[in-house]
Amino acid sequence: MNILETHHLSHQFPSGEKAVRDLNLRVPSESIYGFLGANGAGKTTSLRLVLGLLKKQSGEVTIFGKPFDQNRVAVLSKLGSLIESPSVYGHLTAVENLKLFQKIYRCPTSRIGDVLAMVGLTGTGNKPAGRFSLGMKQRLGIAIAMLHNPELLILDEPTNGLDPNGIIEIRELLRTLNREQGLSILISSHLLSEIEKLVTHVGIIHQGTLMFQGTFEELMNKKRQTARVVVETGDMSKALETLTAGAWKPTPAGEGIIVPFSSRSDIARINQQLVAADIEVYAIRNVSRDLETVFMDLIKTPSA
Amino acid sequence: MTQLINSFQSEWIKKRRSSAAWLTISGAFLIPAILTTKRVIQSETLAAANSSPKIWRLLYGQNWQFMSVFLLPMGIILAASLIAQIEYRNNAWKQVHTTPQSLTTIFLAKFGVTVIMLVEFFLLFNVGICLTGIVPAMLFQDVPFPTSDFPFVPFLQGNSKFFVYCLPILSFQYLLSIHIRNFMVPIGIGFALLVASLIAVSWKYGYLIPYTYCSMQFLIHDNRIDPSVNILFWSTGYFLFFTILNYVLYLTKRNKG
Repeated sequence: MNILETHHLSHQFPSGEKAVRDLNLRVPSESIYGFLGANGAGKTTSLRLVLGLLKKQSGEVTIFGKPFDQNRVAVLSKLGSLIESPSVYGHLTAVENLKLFQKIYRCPTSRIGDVLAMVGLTGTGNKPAGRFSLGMKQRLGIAIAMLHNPELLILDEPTNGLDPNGIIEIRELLRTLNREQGLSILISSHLLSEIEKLVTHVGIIHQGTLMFQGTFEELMNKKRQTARVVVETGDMSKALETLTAGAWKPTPAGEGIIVPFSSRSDIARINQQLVAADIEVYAIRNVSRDLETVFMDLIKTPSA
Repeated sequence: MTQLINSFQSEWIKKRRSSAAWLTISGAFLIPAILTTKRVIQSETLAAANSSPKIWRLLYGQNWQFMSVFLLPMGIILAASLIAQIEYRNNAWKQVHTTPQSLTTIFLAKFGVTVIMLVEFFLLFNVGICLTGIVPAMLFQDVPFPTSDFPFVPFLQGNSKFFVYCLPILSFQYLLSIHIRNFMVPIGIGFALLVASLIAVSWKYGYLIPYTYCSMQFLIHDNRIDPSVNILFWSTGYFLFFTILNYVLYLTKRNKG
């Protein structure tokens, strides 16, 4: 079952620029859904539409199986969010910041201490939040989002401004909450490497269009399917001919030829065919295909 | 109703130590502090003044003379802008709008806090007026404490009128402040309207500018003010109009953070 769905969600800015095009997000319950895209791809606009911060122009948003517009208050009572930069009141302390949200969420006062401990901000005392570092503000923003024990957490680039240690800590925290409390998390990022160790599902958006959506495993398969080697030979044109005749899809690249393959035995077959055609093979090496490259390829492709 | 009370409490926490909160307190005591200082410096007239049966009315008139025409409207312009700025400056509208409260609750709680801050200002200002009479008696042995009865009813009536005359300013400034991110714009508009109102106060159509009412109330016995114009009615009407307009604009706002 999906905890969050969008149906044909679209949004156009007054300038005419289409920020989101026919977006159909499917966030499964108890998943950690990584919502990926380059800066300006439409992630934040999509999340703001999901949360009702931007007036919808077309499409529907369903959260917890209910249409958001008709059930706004009920849905928001079970949802925590952190959109873009953290919203903390600079003239108030961390406890006061949480206290004012605790009043609205009507959750036990003890939750304030719990979430402060959870994000490692217990020792801030009377220091106004305005004097916190960006990382501390980000943690406080996460604490506010977690205050009422939500079932769904929507985080827009929550690790912005955090040092590497902070990123690891937040990642661990989210993983623990997901594993132990079954919390569903929708987390956006422009860096796949930042969340690849965390997510169970992935959606990739580019220029407002969802280019890929599926499990992390499916994305990994895509990576395997698009593996490539560079072959360096003594006769490039003959090698291209031979490989094309052998049903490969070679493309010249500098002094070598790039050949896509799907299994390790393919590399041996490529070599055999070239040698059988009396072509000297100087080198065959893997083209590095990390997930970041797959991501970049996906957003370069016109459609998924 | 419980949600509204909780929301109000939440908004009240937000104004702690805020510029708007400090402005309310310091603004309320500014004129009384100046007048007290003046009275203390001119101590030779103090004994007679404090013995006068009209001492409270005298102090009330002196305090309101400076407060009503310029400082009160200016204070409201600043305070309303600063209250709304709490959300803009802290990038917090988006967080407020993703809390489980109806938009009506958010609007009422926030506006309620600004109205209650105005009440707080009036209470503190009246405490200040009382202190203007009491403090000199505490400082000088030969100066008696004011002995005349405190005119509760006239004070209450006068304050109530000034309060109602402030409401359209508060409502309009609040409208500007929650819809315009740059807080200098509402302050600039408010200041321009206030200056216009000072020029227009004795104009026969001056009552059309809601910022004139506090000045008109103070000058009510001046023959330049048309007594046939019911400024209480105009003031209430403008207040309701601006508040409803603000509410509708707030509900239909496309971008909520």
